Amino acid sequence: MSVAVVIVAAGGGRRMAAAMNKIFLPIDGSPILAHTIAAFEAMPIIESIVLVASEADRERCAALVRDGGHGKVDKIVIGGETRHASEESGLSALGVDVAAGRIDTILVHDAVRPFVRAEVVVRLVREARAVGAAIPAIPVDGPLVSVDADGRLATSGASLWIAQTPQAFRASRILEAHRRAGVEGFLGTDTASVVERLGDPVAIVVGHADNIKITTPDDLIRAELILASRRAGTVDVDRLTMPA
Amino acid sequence: MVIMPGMRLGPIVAIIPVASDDPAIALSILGRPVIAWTLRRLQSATRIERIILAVDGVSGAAAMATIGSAEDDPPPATATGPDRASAIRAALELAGPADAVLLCPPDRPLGGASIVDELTVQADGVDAVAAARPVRSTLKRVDDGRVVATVPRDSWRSDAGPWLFRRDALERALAVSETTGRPVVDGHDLALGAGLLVRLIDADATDLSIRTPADARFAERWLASIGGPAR
Repeated sequence: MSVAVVIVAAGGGRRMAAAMNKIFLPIDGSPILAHTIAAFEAMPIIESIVLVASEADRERCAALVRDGGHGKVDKIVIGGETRHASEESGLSALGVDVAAGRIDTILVHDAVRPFVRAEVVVRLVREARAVGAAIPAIPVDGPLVSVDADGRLATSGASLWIAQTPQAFRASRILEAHRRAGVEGFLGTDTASVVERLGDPVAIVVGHADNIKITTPDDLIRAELILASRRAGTVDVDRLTMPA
Repeated sequence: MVIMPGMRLGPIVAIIPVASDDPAIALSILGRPVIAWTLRRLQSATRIERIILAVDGVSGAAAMATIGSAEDDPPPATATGPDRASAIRAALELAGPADAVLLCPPDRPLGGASIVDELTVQADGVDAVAAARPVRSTLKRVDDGRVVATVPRDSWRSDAGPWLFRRDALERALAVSETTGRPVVDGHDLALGAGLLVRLIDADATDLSIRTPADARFAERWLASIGGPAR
């Protein structure tokens, strides 16, 4: 039994206001997507990768995979209009292998999170196999605030966590739950919400603040800092304040 | 005459609450203390008539020495107190006849001065207005290592500040703090403790607290990328 990861790279990146899909923006000279794929390529626990790209980016993604020698990328499939539809494309591409019992665990990952760590993925897979689903998350740093119906300040308390990716699932269950969500018109803000709505347990694996999702220009600066810190072998970037 | 929202507010005084050992004093961005950048930000805001440092701890002398050596402009007035609420109260006594008080954390150098106008425009009908960043991450409520629910993120914001208080509301909140003994760190604690009527507005994504050396390095690179401090 093996583990596959679906990397969703079909988004546009409106908030980045860049001339190209943000997955191709460089960090230290290489596209964000190349860093993300390379991270999973280096993890022995990952057997195969499905890359979900937009039609417009398909050729460029294929070239990136080919030129990077990313041998674990089995398929590049075309995404949909929504995040949910893109995930569905990636998951469907694994259907035959799941049905045949060749894949037991599927991870779904944002292409613009290049700093995923191997030890977190190992824990996620372990928890997903035991519980059914597992996500990396970090506690919210400081209280979140809102205004209640009376116009008074309300705070979030200590129980709110920030969800990250990759999110890990028992393969057969996520295929079924995702298909049902699509049929019933449910669009969650993350993959795990499609199993949560069915009452399935989802385990938390404590993640790292530097597993950032690169969505805005200031995130690119954080990414450069994180990469430089990792290469220098320092950990002080762990104390970089990350927006919720 | 049509009165525009917020235009009824008269003079605004800015108070920067700061501990004498605050990281905003010790950390530097491009060779200047973080708090000096925050001061420069507020000095650019035309609606602010006066800036007062409210220093809690043993003395404001260390803070003033650090800031003063980094500033070309005359250093701001300083009020001190044994704790945060006392220091803010002392700063209010120095403030003169201000209608509104901007309570600005010392570690918020990156946002523009225009936030003061934006807060002022939104001040009608509430006791306080704060800038805060919309949450863009997926939020989960977690209990005992399991997800309990996905929480709608649209209503939540993070890292609130600066805060614009109507002066009477701030005085009321400080009195509540004194009566209850509830500790005060920032505008959030004051507004929450006194049950003030509050409005939240969007802050820039980069209007972040600069608390660590890594944050300061981020700030330097961000300022370099945009060609200097925001306006």
